[in-house]
Amino acid sequence: MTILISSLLIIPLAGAILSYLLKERLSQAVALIAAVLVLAMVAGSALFGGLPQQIDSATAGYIPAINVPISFSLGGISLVLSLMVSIVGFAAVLAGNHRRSQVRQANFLALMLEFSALGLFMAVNLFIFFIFWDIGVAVSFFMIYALGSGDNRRAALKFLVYSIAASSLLLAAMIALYVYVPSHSLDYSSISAASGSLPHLIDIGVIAALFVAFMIKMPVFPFHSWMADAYSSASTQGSMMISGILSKFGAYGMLTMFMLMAPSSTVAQYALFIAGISAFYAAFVGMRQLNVKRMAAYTSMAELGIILVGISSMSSLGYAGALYGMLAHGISISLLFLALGALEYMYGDINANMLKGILRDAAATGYTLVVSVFATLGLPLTAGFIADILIFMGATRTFGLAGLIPLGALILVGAYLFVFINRIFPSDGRLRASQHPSAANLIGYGALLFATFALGILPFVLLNAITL
Amino acid sequence: MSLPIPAAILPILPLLLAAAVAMLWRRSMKVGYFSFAMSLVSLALAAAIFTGPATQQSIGWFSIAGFTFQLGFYTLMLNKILLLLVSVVMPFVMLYSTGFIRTPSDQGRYYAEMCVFASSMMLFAVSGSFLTMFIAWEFLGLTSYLLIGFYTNKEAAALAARRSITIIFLGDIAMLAAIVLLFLQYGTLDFNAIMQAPGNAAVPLLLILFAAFTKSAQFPTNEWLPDAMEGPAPVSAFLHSSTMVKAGVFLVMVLMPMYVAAGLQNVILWIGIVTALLAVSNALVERHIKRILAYSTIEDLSLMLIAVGLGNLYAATLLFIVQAFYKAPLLLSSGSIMRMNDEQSDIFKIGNSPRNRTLFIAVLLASLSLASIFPFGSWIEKSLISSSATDAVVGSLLLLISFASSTYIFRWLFVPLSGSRKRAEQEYHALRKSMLVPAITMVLISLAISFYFIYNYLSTRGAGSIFYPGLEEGAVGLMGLAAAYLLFYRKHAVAVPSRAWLLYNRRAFDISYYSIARAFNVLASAADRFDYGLDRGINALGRALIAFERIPALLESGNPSVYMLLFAIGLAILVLAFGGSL
Repeated sequence: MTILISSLLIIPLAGAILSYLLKERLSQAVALIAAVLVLAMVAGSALFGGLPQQIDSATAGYIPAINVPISFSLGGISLVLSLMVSIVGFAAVLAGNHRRSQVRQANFLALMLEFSALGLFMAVNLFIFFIFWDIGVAVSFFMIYALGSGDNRRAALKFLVYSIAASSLLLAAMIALYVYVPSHSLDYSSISAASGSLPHLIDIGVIAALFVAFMIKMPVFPFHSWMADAYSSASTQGSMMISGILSKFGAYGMLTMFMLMAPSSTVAQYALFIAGISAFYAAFVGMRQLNVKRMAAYTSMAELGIILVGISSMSSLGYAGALYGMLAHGISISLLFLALGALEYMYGDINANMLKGILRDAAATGYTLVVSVFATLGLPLTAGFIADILIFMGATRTFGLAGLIPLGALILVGAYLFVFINRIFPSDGRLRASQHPSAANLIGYGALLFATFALGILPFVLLNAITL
Repeated sequence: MSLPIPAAILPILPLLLAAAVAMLWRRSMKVGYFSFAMSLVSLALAAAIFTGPATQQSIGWFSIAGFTFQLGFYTLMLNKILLLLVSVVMPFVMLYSTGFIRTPSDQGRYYAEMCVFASSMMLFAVSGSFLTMFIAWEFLGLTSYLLIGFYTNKEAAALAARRSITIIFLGDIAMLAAIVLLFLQYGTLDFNAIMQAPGNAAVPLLLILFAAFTKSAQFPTNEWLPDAMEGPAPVSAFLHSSTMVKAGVFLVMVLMPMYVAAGLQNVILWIGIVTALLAVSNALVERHIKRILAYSTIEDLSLMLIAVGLGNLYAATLLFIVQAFYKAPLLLSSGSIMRMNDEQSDIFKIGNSPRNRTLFIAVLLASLSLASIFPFGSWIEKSLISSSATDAVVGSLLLLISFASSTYIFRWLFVPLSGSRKRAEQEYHALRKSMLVPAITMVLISLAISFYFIYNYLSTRGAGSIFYPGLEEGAVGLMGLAAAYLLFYRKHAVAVPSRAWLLYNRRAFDISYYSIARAFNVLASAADRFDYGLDRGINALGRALIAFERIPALLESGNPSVYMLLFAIGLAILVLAFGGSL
């Protein structure tokens, strides 16, 4: 195993264990150091790695009997997503948990999720992908179950049931692939090589199973019922990581599946249709949410619908757009949840009618909210713009004018986000905020804002070297 | 890959510096003076570019899948004009602001937002590709949104800001769609490359036209601009009369050859005429001192579009320039008048306006410029536009619009004047010099420019083609003045009902916007209810599965007698089934 990949996996894992064993203050320091180290390594390889398709790869035997090696690769897609994970992970660890008794658990879970995400995005074998997938599910379950608030236990169980359904489908697809791929290997390269020669029924079945599994995880309509509860009852850190990172498990899986299995154009049309429905549906439902965390959850779902539009176009433009969209969405949605979490902390409430005078009493959070809303909507010079333009170019190229229809969902999302800001910004004369946001929160805003603008202004750092 | 800085964006840099300074020293009263100084530096740089050569620069940003995203920067004639216009207006507005914005806690965000706005406006002015243009375009929307909602304690300001951004965001999305289509069709986003390439691009051109209409407040997206007057007066003067709202018109002017080729000129012409008629009729009955001017701005923008639609780019450009120098002072002076009169905005309740001679002279000259009275401000442009209207219907509608605009602007001037004696119940507040100097200076510039243009036009092309249109325009301008005098001056002042329903068509727009919003809300609540039902359904499914699991639990109750019974039944079945074979 080479140094870079193994340290990207070992540092979060060791940090997680250490921060669980140590006392609160030390635990926070250790977790932060681990997150910063990971961020520095990933950002460093993005800037100075020279960006070949593969910066580093590692392989070792694992279960020779069924031909499963441990194999990872960093570069291209996995580098972009690892960058997203390390940025969001850093901001989430920094945001921390203001309940002192939960600091150690929170740090443990946050770093474990970072570990699982890095492993999953760097894996080049479906078996390894599956292992990290399930680690991520378990960690997220505990994030909601143990650290959440409100109706969190029910939400966590619901999340778990949905996730187990997705995992079973994934497992079934994996077994089918193992049996029918001639070399009996689950390496991405073997799957890709065999994708044309699979028996028709198996091909369709595997694609359907994977598609539904990833739909559940993203989530995409109609398998989204776990999402709003889970996002709104998790802690701030939890909703940042689950919405920012865990949802990408599904989106990345979808992207990988489309790239490896090369489904027919009929499947692509269905995917576009589902993606469009999901985006519009989420936008409409989001319009009616007064609980601002639920509103953000549906906003996230609408955006993932648009990412699926890019994937369904099956063109390199659309794939690049979807990939950049995952990066942009991870950052902007965790920024949104960070700001909303700060508002919840300051105002003690999360109902849009109770939050008033944000610009007077919580100006930094207010402006961060405005920028994150615009970043969500694809303001140029933020990463979201690059994603949007590439996604819709890809979709229009493949599907013609129909590919532009999902832009309508973006209009709806914009409309209700502006109403939301309109509702919370003016003051009604009463002082409602009882707390100030912590310095860590402000640094988190700064880091995420910096990331979204840096990636929007300097997209060539990542994009010029990626061939999809 | 490195990003070299093109010369065309040099004027932006001082403003970005000023914005950064304003954000760092948020409560200092000095940031206003610093921004003013930086705007002068930026003006000097813009003037240097204006006198310099025309350049076209293209910088590769990133490329993917065979598409190279290029940032283009042009300093062609139109680009130079807009760049200089923005940088000339800005110092006046900044100077005015140092007198107008006096609350310490407002300083930082006001100047930061203004400087970011001016930077994006200048970037827009020198953009040479759709990509550069779109970056600036969206930042115009964002800063306009923030500045309209500047007064955070006013619910109305927040509402106005939201209405404007919703409309403008519609345009942004339309523009994004157009850019996607153009890029796929032509493989480039460079203005010139696209304009020279063959091929019909009607769909993206219509989308761009829609986007331009949202930005320039044209029918049917016209009503956000009057609402935008909730922002501070210098914001209204800078963004919502002289620069930002012109972005849409400017884009149409730049792309005019494509619209001509696609045969869309008549669409532009007639949307312009409809909007202008709607705007002047509202302006005739509106009572809010700044909203009247907002309707007037809509009319100005429509006139520019009408000129483009008639193929008279020269007239459009002249109006584009001169309009800024009479409309911005009018809005700045409105802010001053409101400040003098306890922030009273109803022209029928304002008394103190003639108390300040400088202010009065400025608004008088600016009003004369707005009405097409020879030889002031808009007379030459309106005459030129009339001269290219070959259609009799269009020509007479143009005269009607000119007559109405002369009437409403003198109504705007006379109504407060006539009330000055008996209704001067407000306490008079003295004005700072910094609030008086910009308006009067700008009006004088406007006079100088229009005299120069008239002289220039007559000496190069002679009076022949514009003699009759000029006569007509001048005559209707004077008629409007007379009508306003008879109807609104002194004792006649309230002769026209101010909410005459035919003229006051704003309500119809409110109702239709509201109905659209309501329709979407109905859909949204249906979706929400469905979502709730879906959630409940899935919970019920879960419960049913749990209930299913209870069936074996019923049998395995832990009661030995039940087990014995089950054992006996099972044994009996076995014996009955297989007993024979044993």
